[in-house]
Formats: sequence, C-alpha cells, structure tokens
Amino acid sequence: MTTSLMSDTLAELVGTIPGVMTLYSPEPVIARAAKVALATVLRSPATTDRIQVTDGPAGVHVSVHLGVSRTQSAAAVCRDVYEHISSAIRADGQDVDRIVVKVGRVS
Amino acid sequence: MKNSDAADGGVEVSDTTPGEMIDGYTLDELADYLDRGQRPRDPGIDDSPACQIALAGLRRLRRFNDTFLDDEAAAEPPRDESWISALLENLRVDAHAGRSVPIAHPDPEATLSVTEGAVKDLIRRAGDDIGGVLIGKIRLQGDVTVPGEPIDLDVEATVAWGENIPSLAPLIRTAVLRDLCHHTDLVVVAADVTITDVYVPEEEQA
Repeated sequence: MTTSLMSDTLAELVGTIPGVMTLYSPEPVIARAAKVALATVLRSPATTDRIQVTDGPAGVHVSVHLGVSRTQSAAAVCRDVYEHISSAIRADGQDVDRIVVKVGRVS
Repeated sequence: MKNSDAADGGVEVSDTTPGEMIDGYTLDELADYLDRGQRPRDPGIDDSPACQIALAGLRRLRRFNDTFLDDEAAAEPPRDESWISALLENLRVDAHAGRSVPIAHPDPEATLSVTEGAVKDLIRRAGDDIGGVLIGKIRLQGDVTVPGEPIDLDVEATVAWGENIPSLAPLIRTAVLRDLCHHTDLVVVAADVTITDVYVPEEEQA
C-alpha cells in the first residue's frame, strides 16, 4: 500500500474511533500556509494528508493530530488510536517504526 | 495589545508581531471571525486547534460579559481595561500548543501526548463553566514533558461581584483536578487557586 493510500485508509479508520472529533493536519502552520498559497496560484485545491505516513528506518512512521470529545478521556482515546493504527499496519504486513498521536484540543 | 470593547469581549490589537499571533491570526481577527458567525469558512482557522481554543475562550468571555453586564452597563466605556486585556493576553498565550504532555504507553513505538495548549484549555474551561468565574493566568510548574514528574498547578481567577469567594475557590480546584485526572496522566501534587479579581458591573460601582 502506498503511503498516500495508507493515509486515507488510516484517516477513515481513526474517524470511526469513539471520542475522535477532528483530524488536524500534522504539518506545521507554515507548511500548510505555503500549500494554500501555492494552490491559490495554481488554482487547484490545497490537499493535505490528514494523517502523515512516511517510511521510517524500522518501518512505517505515522503522525496523527487529533481533536477529541470531552465526554471521553483524551488519554484513553489517544491510546485507542495508537492501538488501531498499529494493528492496521501490522495487518497490512508492515512493521511499525513510530506512531505519534497528539491531542491538540479537547472539545 | 489594547482592548476596545470590553463589554463585547472584543479586542483591538496594535503593533502585532508574529510571536503574538495564533497560527497566523491575531485575536482581533479571530474575534471578527466569531462576529461573522465563522462565515465564510476559513480553513486556516477551522483547522487550527490553537485558533479553535482561542475562539472557545472568546465565546466564554462574551458569555460571562453577557451574563454579568446589563445592556446599559455594556454600552458604557469600561472603567478598567487592564482587567480584560490581561484575560485576553492569557487566552492568547495559552492557546499555543506549547509543550507536549506525554501519555504513557508500554509500546516503545508509541509517542502519545496532549499539547500543553489543550491542557490549559481544559483547565480554563473547567473553571469558566462554573457560573461567575473566569480563569486568568495558569501556571503548570514542573517539567510536564517528563512522565510521572510531580507538577504544581497555579490558577488565577476572576469572580463576579456577589459570588461567594470562599466557596468558589474549592469548586474551581475540584473541577480542574477532576478534568486533568480524567484526560491526562499529569501527576498534580499541589493545586493553588487564587482569586485575583472581583468583577464589578457598572451599576454596582455607581
């Protein structure tokens, strides 16, 4: 599976986990702003992977930036997201290098 | 930063530097976005947790003003702009992601965390949701980036005129600790709540 396809698949998976409200772009603000500016010039929609998937030294490296619901424990949702992503990658026959899950807002 | 309309929770920001912005936006721009009903949609704001935290804080500030100021008082120029300017400054500073507060997991491949901005938003909201309270400065003292490290928490709050301060302070403390315990792995060994201001509406001052 390509990293882009895996990003879409994982985003869909994470979106179904109870307590997950939003997937923020894991890219820094400046990188996002540059993409938007470029897209404006090119008159094409700015696309950003909601989950960043790259090849790391020991396997797949995943970064997720979440907004979670206040009704669930943010720490528990964070662990849940990790477990789901880890299982999905291993089920795809790949190794995990690192999975970074960050909660940016509890709403 | 100066406040131009305390009753509305609005702000007028002058001489803004990039460091004073929240993911590329000033508080003034975020307040305007709120005024427009968040239309037209701005993905830069909507996709930024820091901007969303600041917007939520502005909403609570407005709700506080709406509740504790009557229309006539709201139309009057504020007598002390420093009070609300300080609140807005705290809101701006605390909206930033800041440090990463780790969440424990036994797998070595897992790097799990909550941003310091999200943690401070939890604290602020836990207090603000108690009627007649607005949380001001929040200090997480200690290295929050180290799992299990003991943390001291200092919270300053403003209360509305007529509220019972001795009973509110423990309520704030309990609400904040409950939410921190529920959402994070932080080990809070001391939590101090200081009421730094009493908000007196115009009609009470007259």
